[in-house]
Amino acid sequence: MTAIDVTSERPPAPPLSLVRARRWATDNLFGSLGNSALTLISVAILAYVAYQVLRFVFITADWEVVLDNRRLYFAGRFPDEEMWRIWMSLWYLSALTGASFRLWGRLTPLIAAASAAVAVLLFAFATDYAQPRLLLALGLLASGYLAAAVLSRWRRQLAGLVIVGWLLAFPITIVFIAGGAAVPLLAAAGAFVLGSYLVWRLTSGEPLPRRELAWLGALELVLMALIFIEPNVEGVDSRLWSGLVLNILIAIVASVLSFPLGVVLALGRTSGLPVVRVVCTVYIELIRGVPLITILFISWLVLPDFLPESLRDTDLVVRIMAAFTAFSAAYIAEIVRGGLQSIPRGQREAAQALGLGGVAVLVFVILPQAIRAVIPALTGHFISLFKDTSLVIVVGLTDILDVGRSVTAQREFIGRQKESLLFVALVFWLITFSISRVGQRLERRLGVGER
Amino acid sequence: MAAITAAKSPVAFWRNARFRRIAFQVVFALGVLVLLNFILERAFDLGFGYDFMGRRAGFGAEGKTIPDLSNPFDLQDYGANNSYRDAYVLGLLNTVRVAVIGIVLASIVGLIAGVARLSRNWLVSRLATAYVEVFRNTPLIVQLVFWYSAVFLQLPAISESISFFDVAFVSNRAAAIPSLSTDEGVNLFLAFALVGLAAGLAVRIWLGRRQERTGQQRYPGWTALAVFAGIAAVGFVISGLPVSVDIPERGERSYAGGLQMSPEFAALLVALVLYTGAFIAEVVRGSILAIPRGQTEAAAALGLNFFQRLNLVVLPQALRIMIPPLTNQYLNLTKNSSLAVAIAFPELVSVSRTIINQTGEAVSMVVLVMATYLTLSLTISLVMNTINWRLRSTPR
Repeated sequence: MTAIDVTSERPPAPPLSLVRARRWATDNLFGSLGNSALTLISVAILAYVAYQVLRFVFITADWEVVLDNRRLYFAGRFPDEEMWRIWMSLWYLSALTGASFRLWGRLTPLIAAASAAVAVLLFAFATDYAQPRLLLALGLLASGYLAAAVLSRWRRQLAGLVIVGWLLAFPITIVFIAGGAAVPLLAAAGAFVLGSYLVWRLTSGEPLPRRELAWLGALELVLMALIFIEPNVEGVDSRLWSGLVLNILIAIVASVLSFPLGVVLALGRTSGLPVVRVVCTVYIELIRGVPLITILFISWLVLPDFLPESLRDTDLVVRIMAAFTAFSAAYIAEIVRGGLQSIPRGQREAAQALGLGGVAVLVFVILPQAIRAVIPALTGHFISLFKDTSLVIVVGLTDILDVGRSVTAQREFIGRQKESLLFVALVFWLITFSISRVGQRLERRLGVGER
Repeated sequence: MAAITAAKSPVAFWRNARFRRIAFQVVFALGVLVLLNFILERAFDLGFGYDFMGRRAGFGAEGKTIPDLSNPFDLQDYGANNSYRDAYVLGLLNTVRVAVIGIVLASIVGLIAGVARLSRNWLVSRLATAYVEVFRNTPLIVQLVFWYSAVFLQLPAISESISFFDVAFVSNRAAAIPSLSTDEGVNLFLAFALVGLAAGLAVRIWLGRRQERTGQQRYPGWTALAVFAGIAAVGFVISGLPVSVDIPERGERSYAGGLQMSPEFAALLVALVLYTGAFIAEVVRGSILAIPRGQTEAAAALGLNFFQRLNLVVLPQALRIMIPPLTNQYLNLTKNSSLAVAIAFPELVSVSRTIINQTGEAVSMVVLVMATYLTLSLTISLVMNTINWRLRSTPR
């Protein structure tokens, strides 16, 4: 009896859960006099806040203002007959998300319960018009998941397909909503990137395989043709983009476009070419030193005077998206630079010793490791970029915050600012909080910080 | 052998690495110069310059019926005859004021919340976590608009203002809190206080050295504080009690005395402090967690008590880790104060927008605002870098 049992790994569980609860309370709440006092104060604060919140939510608040204007919050002045464009994009993304979740995620009871709760909430809140469409989106989400489960045999091929789907998601969504007018811009960006790559490869002295050259050359020609041939696809005038749709569009466009730009700036700032380094450093520090609002002001008031005649009447929304992109790129550059600095010299030297050229070393050795190392910071940046999209109210665009502010001017909703603005805050909170959770998941899957 | 001869064979000059480096930089520099030249030319075509700043601004009490006496830096007190330059300086002062007060208050809130999140008390740490997650994950501008139009503007009128023990009041026109007012003897008092400070520092150094030499506890900090407080108190009496507390009084349409804040200022301050405080809480938490447990345990093993451990071992190290991210938060707070343009608080950006509306000098004003913010940012960075340098760990 006196011998100590060294084989058992954990002490035997206490017989009663009540004992455990008491011990837990002693350990965590009433350990000492000071601790007990802190607990009592916290209970008082909690009780007060809970009472006020519950009383407001269920008794004094009048949620009519939110319910009556729910379409305005989400789509603002987006025309009814064009709403299918948003739904099509949503459906496309739902199916992709479902499949990706099966391929790379894991369905825990907690995630399932939380998603179900959000789905029920969304459904209860949606208008009669939106309800069946929302159901279809949920159905597509489930079918994507099931399809990936059924086709698990061809996991590799399916994964490739889904990745291509995600890569195409950006141009597809943009063309769905903006129509053919967006094609030349997208094509010009693509042609520029691909063209620079081709010029570099062709002059660098490394042999470029014939087949690769043919493929890339053909793609480049198609992209260049698309700059001048605007496909006759109708879209929605960007002046009508408003509500939450506008916030999401600005955030997506700015994130997608600023990422490559930020990587290039980071490479420029760390490059061995002094001229490039100085220019990139000045740009990054200039943008980071001033508030976002001043950059929005430039886009709004100053930029039109500096554009060539043909571009002078570019829509404000497009100019604001450009401002967000320019702003975000500087911050991404600093994040990526941190990642670049964390890569040991040996990696580059080893890659060069293997005979890889400059671009290949970067693309296949340095950047994948550098970007993987800074995923947490990048997630944080994209979240704050999404939060920043509300700043567009200052330049007169109608985002969800502007809707939330102006609906209380309707006669029957005067004085209902609290309800309206709290709802706006809740929408933002739900979105940013879920992005941060997805980001944490991504970190764990990619094993950030485990080496 | 063949490979070596191939390597020696003359390479086309455009494949020479050195040529490529130089050529690329020349082309790049030319491109940047052409762009800069175009921008400058266009800017001067548009009449870039600051001559208009001397003109009469004429913005006084626009859109407000009751003069806002509450705000010492408000546009109304400035009178309509002042120039744009004066208005701009006023905006700058307001920005600096919000930034300084905001930085101090946000640091306090952040320190409390950050330490509370690490508390062993389950309830306290959960409460702090809830605060951080709620305020960090909603946009600042939404919070700002909420505080302004859903809280401060919905308060009762001045005649029915909410009173806190009759010494502080809030209403939809202004908030008033007690302040300190000074009489003529204040300079003498300040002189005494300075002498006290110098004496206190001297005592602190002297006793500290003795303690280090002899190993006996001399309480240098407490003694120094007592010396300072004693000299300051004597000076306070000698100079004839020059500082008194000014308690605001409520009138029918305004408050008298005390420190008064406009609802715009109050909303901006509350929003900035709560938002930045949540971020600072995370900085504080991360820095304390970064101190290895062994440090505390080693200090305990040496026989240091709780406060000595915190004061001499944990906090100095945590502070060192904290400073760079804290600098970022201070810079963010300063830049974020520009969101006040959404609630029309007359700070830098808000005033500049009005000036642009009136004069149409968008290019000049935007350049000026950006230069001002860059200067502010550099100043804060400089101060924080100096502190960082002073606190740096000595290399081992």
